[in-house]
Amino acid sequence: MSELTIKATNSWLSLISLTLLSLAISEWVKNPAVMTLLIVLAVILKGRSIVDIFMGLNTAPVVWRRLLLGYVMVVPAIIGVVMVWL
Amino acid sequence: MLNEYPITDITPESGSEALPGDFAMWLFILMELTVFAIFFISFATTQNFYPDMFGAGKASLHSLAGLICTLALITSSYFVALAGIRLRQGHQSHCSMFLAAALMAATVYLTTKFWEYSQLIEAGYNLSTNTFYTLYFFITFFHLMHVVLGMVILGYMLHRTRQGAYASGEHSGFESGASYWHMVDLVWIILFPIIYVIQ
Repeated sequence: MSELTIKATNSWLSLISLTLLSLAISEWVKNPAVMTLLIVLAVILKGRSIVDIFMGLNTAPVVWRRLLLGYVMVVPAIIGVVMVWL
Repeated sequence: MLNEYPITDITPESGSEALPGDFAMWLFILMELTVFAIFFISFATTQNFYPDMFGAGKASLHSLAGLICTLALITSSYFVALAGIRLRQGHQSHCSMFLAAALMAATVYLTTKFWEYSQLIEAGYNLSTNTFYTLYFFITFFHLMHVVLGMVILGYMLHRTRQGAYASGEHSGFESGASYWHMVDLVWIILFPIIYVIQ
């Protein structure tokens, strides 16, 4: 199996794991703020994986990588803040 | 054992390669991501004004359907990524196979989504039921339209791959389509927890 295929497969497995973990967190963690924070973190990690590995931006010009990574960090963070603190 | 794949197997350094696909497609992707960001933040904000309504609304949704949709889109995106790897390695037939698999996974998403819509409508919920369902149907249907467009693009990529259109090494069209599909997946990654998971 090639290096790129291994990276893509690991990314896929981590995406599935984080998705299932998010569901488990929503069931087990009763504190809304903690639950939201953990799920937002999971979303950010999943987003990074898609941007870097699936979209292949880890080797693209830095400005585009930072733009997309900024999106997957800032947007979920804003949503988390709005849901918990506003 | 000799490595059967050419040097394209090795991951290049960060920032050393061009943007995958057309610049215009990336502008379109940024535009779409911005629109969805506005929808998501609006949903989260509105939820604060109607917590009981949104709580009841989320409880009426089918979490399992949402999970199946998520797994289907993640897997479809994975297959598209593998298709791109195989294409760069010169394996056109494998590329076609993974594109076909990506389309099948996307069909699972479509089928599940339409089933979910039918269940909700049969239960008496629709766009005009209340603010939650207006936002739910609007945002998820808007995303579904992007999935349908993405499937058309994937189908065209599959057709072109089978024609040998990318054999010359010019993959820009393929990469543009793949990037769009990954964007559709990325949007759902954010949408699913906001609408289905976070209580």
